[in-house]
Amino acid sequence: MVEKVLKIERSRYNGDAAQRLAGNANFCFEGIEGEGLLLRLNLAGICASSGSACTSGSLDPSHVLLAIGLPKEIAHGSLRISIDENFTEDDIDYMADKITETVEYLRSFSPLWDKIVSQ
Amino acid sequence: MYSEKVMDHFANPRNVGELPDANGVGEVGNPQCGDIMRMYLKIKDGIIEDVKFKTFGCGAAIATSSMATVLIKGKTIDEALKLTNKAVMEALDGLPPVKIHCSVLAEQAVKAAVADYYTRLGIDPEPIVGKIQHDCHDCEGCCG
Repeated sequence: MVEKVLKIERSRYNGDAAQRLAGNANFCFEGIEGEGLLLRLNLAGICASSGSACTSGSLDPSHVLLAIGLPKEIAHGSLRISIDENFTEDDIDYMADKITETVEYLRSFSPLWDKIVSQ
Repeated sequence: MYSEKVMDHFANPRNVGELPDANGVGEVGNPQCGDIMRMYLKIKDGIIEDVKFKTFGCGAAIATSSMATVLIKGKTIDEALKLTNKAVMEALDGLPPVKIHCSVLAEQAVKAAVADYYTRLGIDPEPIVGKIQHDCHDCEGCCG
């Protein structure tokens, strides 16, 4: 899934590729905001999380992502996915496809994305 | 945490995109805060004939932008300038307290676009539109 998702232009995988919690993936996508991505994935039946803990009342981007040196505008576009042994290959393909589709959709009307691609 | 109306406008945003023949374009917010709204207006004979928006931001930012366009489309400039963040919130059946600033940004985005319309005509917009708040004044810390 990580490989597939990282095909998205201007995406990044946060943290070490190998030295990490099993079943956990954390991405950032430039030009979009994490909550919008999360809500749309939720509508598609995917439960995920973001760096910005909107539901806990804080709108700040993840302090961990900021601490590893990401600028705020990129840390805002974070996505955390956790899977376990019950996930099938099909589930994972479905998630990767939906993430790609949703990032593209949100970028299609993001003024920040316009600025990034015009630079 | 969001009302059904907010989710509807977030899932199916109205008037999304750009207007190539816009004669008023306004942008408010900043990427560090996590919200940018850009509003495109096509004004003819004092009426907002068409309006579109582009927004980088959370679900509430997208929903308030969408609702603001719905509320001003076909209205006069004066009516659009009277659009308050409260009216946007009420039309969406409310927002969580931490998201109120999104409705303020939507109101300011409309005003910024109208201000640009007057500026293009060589008219100083400030006496008509007032001062535009370009940032989300409500979020503490994230803009620091």
